[in-house]
Amino acid sequence: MRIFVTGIGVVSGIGLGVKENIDAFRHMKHGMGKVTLFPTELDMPVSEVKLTNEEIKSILALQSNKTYSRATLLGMLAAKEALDDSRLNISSCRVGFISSTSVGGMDLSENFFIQFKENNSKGRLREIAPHDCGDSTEKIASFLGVQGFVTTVNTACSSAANAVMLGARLIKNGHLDAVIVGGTDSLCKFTLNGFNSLMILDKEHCRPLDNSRAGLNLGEGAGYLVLQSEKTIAQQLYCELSGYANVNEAYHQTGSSPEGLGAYMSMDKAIQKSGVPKESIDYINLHGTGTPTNDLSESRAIQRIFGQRVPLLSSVKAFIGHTLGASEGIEAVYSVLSVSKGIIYPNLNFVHPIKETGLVPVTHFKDGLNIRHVLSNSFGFGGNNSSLLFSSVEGV
Amino acid sequence: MMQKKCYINSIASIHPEGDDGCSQLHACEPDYKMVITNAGLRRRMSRIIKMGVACALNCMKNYAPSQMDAVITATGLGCLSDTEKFMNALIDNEERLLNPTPFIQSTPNTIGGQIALLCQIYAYNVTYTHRGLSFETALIDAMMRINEGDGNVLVGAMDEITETSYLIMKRMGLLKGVKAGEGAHFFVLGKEPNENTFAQLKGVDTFMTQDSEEALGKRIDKFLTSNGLDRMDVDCLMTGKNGRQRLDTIYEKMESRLFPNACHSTFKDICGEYQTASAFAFWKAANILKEDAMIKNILIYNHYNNINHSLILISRDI
Repeated sequence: MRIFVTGIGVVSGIGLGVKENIDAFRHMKHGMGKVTLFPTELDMPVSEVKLTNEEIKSILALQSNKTYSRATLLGMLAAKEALDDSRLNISSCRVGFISSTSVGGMDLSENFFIQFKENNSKGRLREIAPHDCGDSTEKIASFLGVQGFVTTVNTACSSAANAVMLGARLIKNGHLDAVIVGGTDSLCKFTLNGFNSLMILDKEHCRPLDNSRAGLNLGEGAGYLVLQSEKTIAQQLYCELSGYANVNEAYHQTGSSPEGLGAYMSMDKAIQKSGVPKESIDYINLHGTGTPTNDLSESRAIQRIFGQRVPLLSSVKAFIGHTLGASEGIEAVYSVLSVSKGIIYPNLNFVHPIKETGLVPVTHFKDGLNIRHVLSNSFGFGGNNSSLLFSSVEGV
Repeated sequence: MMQKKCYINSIASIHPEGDDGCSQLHACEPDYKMVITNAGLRRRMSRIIKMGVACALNCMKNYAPSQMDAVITATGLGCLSDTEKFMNALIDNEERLLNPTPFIQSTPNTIGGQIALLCQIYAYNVTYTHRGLSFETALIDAMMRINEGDGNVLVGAMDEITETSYLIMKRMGLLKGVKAGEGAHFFVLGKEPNENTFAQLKGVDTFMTQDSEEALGKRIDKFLTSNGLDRMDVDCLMTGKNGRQRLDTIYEKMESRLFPNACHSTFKDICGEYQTASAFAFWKAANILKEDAMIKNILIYNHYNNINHSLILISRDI
């Protein structure tokens, strides 16, 4: 059975909706700026979605006095766009919703905690009730009207890739006819401080794949795909989800191995699963966070697989930041567009290749190319590494 | 796709021992030194990580790590004490000089990651965090992995009570007449039975709020039919009664109207109420099937706060 992408939706620091995101890439407009969402001592660039929670509620016609975590609101925007785009009639077949998030309702919990810490009978309960990861998923599902299988994945930064994979497998195993898959995460003080304590944030605008790279910038947003098999497809489709793999590097709780074993295994297995000859892969959307270790190990893994014939590649992280649990939701949307519209995204802030590997990414926006297969990577804490492969329908 | 048979070949559990007069049921934890031998690593681990990792290691003790084709974990609330620790430090230190360890260990996939790291398991590894359906999603994934050709899948769930989570749940009114619980449970599911096999996992179904008893009855009938059974074949109905009348009514109706002839069993009186309590029910049911030859099919029906509902069917049929 083949799995196709029939709808896409995205919100990120560079725009609301697919069109705004592509326009931003075309005009080389990144989303980095100062933190405005919450008070913080840390002066780190981040890529915020340029909408307040109140503005999002108004766009979605939600009651303004209801409390939603920001991840929920961002997820609603992107998942709704994806579902509308697919023109899927959700009452006509078994539709599921699988969402990933790494922070859940932490943006509200950290407010609750300030008062609760002083006096544990204080703190508004409506700010702690959405703490768990399942809350945003259930609220988004209910907003979309999805009543079938609903669940939540959290494997940190690779979460959304695993949501995509689970959705595809549920269709292949006959449990669902169609599924909305992806992830959502909002910026919050907790994660900003967490990554700061790990000393992997760059105080400057991040420089993925550049020899001078010094860390990552965080971002927020959401991205979802609608997946269907050939059995239920009514009309348009973007591309095929032809391969996927999830492996564990089993090297370190947060760091990646210098030789990039996990990255190698996940890319290699995803390619093998698809049956696509690796020479036919035209573009790699890198995990490319901009940390010294990630970009080196990912580059080495790519060279190990592709040798001298490395496909075009780039990282979008300097545009949208590392959006953690949403990252492969958003970047899967970009990868789908790469295959269906022949787009290659520019890798911002690249000047000098990494000394050890010498890989040179694409630095200008390109479209209308003939892109047959796109590999997209996401690697996370806990050694969780995942890769997805999207293929043009003619090319399979 | 036809579901291949899926055998429960190893089980392990760390759980409370039932009512001891307290309002919280805490798991009876083993001496972790014997299981997690790396002292430095053990010291850094919070309680839920130790519970989860030790339970998983015990469950796999008859297997080489290379035999595991997947590690699938589930948790409703994840690593709460590390989350609280980092949150407190963040507020106290006004965002300065924070120790990253509790942040690193606050993500719910820490346990799955640690299992992979300690045992050098490079295989498929995923963590589900969906309230009362976290463990059920893990089981569904595990069954699909077996269907797709895996030989052995490690699947498990864990949640911990912390003072903070207890206080908050109490303030929310979730613990009226209910004991808060916790625990860790792991299972090796395999495509082939062996001399240690406990039972066969036949099917799992999950759904959100079910309004009427009729709708639930239909759902159960459909689930049983899809597994080649009807209500009369269910020898034991195990329900998630937790002592709160409003939530227990639906279980009582099921017992009296749908399964009047089956024996009726519960599990939250032992393990307490928490998001992944159904993993304890699964452990208990596997034990019953191994020990009581009169019982062939056990249906576990659980709901979490009447929002997340699940059905799990396990059978002696080996």
